[in-house]
Amino acid sequence: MSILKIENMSAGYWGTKVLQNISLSIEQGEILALVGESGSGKSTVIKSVMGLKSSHVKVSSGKIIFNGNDMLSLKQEERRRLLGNDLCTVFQNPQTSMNPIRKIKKQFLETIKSHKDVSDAEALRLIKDCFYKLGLSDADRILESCPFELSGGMCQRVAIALAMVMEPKLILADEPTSALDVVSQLQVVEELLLLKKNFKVAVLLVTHNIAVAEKVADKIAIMHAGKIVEFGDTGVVLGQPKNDYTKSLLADVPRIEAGQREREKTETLLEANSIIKQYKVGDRKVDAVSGISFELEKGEILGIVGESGSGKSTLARQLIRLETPNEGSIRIGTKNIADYKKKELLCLYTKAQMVFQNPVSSFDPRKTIRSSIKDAIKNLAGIRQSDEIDKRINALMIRVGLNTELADRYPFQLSGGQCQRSAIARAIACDPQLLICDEATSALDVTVQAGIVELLRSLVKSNNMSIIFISHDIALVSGFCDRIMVMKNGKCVEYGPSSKVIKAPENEYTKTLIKAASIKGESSI
Amino acid sequence: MKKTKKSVWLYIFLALALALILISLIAKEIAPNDPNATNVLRVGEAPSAKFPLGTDSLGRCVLSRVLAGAKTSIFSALVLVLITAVFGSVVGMLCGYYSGIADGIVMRIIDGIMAFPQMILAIAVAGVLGGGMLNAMIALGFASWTPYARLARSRVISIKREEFISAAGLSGCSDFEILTKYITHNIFSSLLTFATTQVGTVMLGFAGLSFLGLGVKLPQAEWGSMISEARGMLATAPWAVLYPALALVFTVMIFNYLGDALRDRLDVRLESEAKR
Repeated sequence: MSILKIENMSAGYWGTKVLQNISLSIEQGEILALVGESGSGKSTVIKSVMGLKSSHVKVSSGKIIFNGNDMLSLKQEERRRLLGNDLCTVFQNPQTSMNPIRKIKKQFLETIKSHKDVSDAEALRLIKDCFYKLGLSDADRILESCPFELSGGMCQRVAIALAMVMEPKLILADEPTSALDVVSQLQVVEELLLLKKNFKVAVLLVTHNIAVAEKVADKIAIMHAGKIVEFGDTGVVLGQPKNDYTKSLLADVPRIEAGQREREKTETLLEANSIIKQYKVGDRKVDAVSGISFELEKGEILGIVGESGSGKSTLARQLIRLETPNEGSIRIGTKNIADYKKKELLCLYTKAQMVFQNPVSSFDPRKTIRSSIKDAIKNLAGIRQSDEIDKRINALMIRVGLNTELADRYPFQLSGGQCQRSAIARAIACDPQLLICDEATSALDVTVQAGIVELLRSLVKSNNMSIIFISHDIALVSGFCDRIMVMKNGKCVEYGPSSKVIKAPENEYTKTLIKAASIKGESSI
Repeated sequence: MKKTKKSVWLYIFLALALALILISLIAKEIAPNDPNATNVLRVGEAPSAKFPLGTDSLGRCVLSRVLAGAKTSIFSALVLVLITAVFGSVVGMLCGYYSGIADGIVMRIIDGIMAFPQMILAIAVAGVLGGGMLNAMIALGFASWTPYARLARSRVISIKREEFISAAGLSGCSDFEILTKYITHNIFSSLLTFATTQVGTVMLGFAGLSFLGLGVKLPQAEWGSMISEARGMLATAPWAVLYPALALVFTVMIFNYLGDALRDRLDVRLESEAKR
């Protein structure tokens, strides 16, 4: 019998329809992954099942049957009794979904006692039993800690344990791995597998990460624009997708590739020599970047990979003198960039430009795209006549694959992808030799990301531009870059041609990154 | 729906504020009598057809003096707010943008000024400089630029870390261009809203100084000094106190509500922008 059955459900917020005719079913002990791009309605499905008033979701038609109960006809009070008992939720960010200043033990006891009439000792036994089944050793230390004293991964595992302690029949997990780094992601994936094995609980897993879904899910549902476009066994759907959207989605997911494009050695464009950047935190100094050296040739693409906080962005800001390193030198062309006086910086900016992570916030919200690009052309290319500038802007928009009319819109009126293309248009306004892309595709969906990567490739080809591409996604970098640098805690742990780094990684951390990204050869959307 | 309702209030208060300014401009023409003409025979007279709001302790027409006082009160407040807002904002923006030692020094000076109650400080300064409208403005302006500097500085500090400011720098914009073309219009709405609500406060400040005899020189009409002069006859001729006080209360209220409506309107626009 299905634990959860959704039939022809349509739902939305304030009269706007978000979900259309959703039908799903989950059997006991089964993990169903709901996969799709942001805005496809994945989380709305979970909110509809929970039916919390505060989530403002209104189910307009269809049925939600959970364990024999028709959820939509239950009274609020009856529903509340089910939540936490038979139906539990795990949220995206573990550190914010638990009370930050209460010990884990108190939070567990509170949960158990609100559902069951047991003594403290009995409750503790339940908790430890649950920890044991989930492979959480060191239960005493965890119970005596507050959430902020645990790592993100450990915290999420504890949150899953908290959901499991009442032995529910169904867990709703909303992007449980998205806020975690690669290593913790692996731990949570292992834990989800243990859940299935030891508890026989059903899990509805919402994720945008196909690798995670593929590893843990029995069934998979692909969502697009509020509809389920494909639903079936994970192996079948991912192996032989029938729907066009699924096919394009899978094709755009970057895969670990060891191949490398052929390129002749050219002259060096950028040379960085043992760069050190320190920040003061209270009384002590923290190395954000410590002793990084590398070279970049003309027309070469260098990928810099690492987790958040590894110093990638700080390094990027040094390279273009948005910040000055404490030690070390950076040479672009023949000149050390520290030698540029403030007034000569324009000269540096005509050689090197940067594209930022968040495309919308990299444009002034109160200016049109045209007027932002205009500043770049005026100052860097030295063109003053306005019709000449307009011509140039239109040419740039066409170059990055956008309609020229979009230039007259405000950043918030464009989609993320269009906005990032405009940002690239602004960056290449004066034909720089070096383009630094700081997580330029991280805020974008996988199909949009593929388009941006293609655009960057074509720029390298046509303008012989060099690119430094910073990303946390080693799979994306592997197929796109000539050389890869892996960073951890401000240090470079591995650096070399991408085929070598991917095929024969020497560093343990690089191996973990590759392992996490290459679960059956797929990576995150 | 909500937005139109808010806009309606904004337009109502804007119209009222403009009407007040207009009345103060044509006060001379519409005043029924000469505001400074005294008449010992008609001291403390009750409202009548000739003196619609009665007369004061020197037999002057209260309505004419309230109208004449509008010009002094409203214009001096508007001018002072404009000067302090521009000065304070520029200082705050420069401090926020460049930070460093100068920022530290200026901010400590501002802390020092703000440590005193604003009115006490104004009374002290006016006491040193002596009476008169110009000196009253200097006295009030001495402290009232500081909140603008604080506000502008904090807004600039949060905005200058945004990616679009870095991007503007990389587009070759100079510091001056970044400050004028990118930062100013992003912090303008919060400064404008704050300045509007300050109009009422400054007006009360002027009235307070005039009440203490540190404001306008007699016989020039000003609401604060009118209340001060007439308070001796509160029992026999309450209209001489009541009407300038009412004028003051309504004007302060209108400018305060205008500031609130402006803030709501600008907030809504930002919200809807974000949603789109």
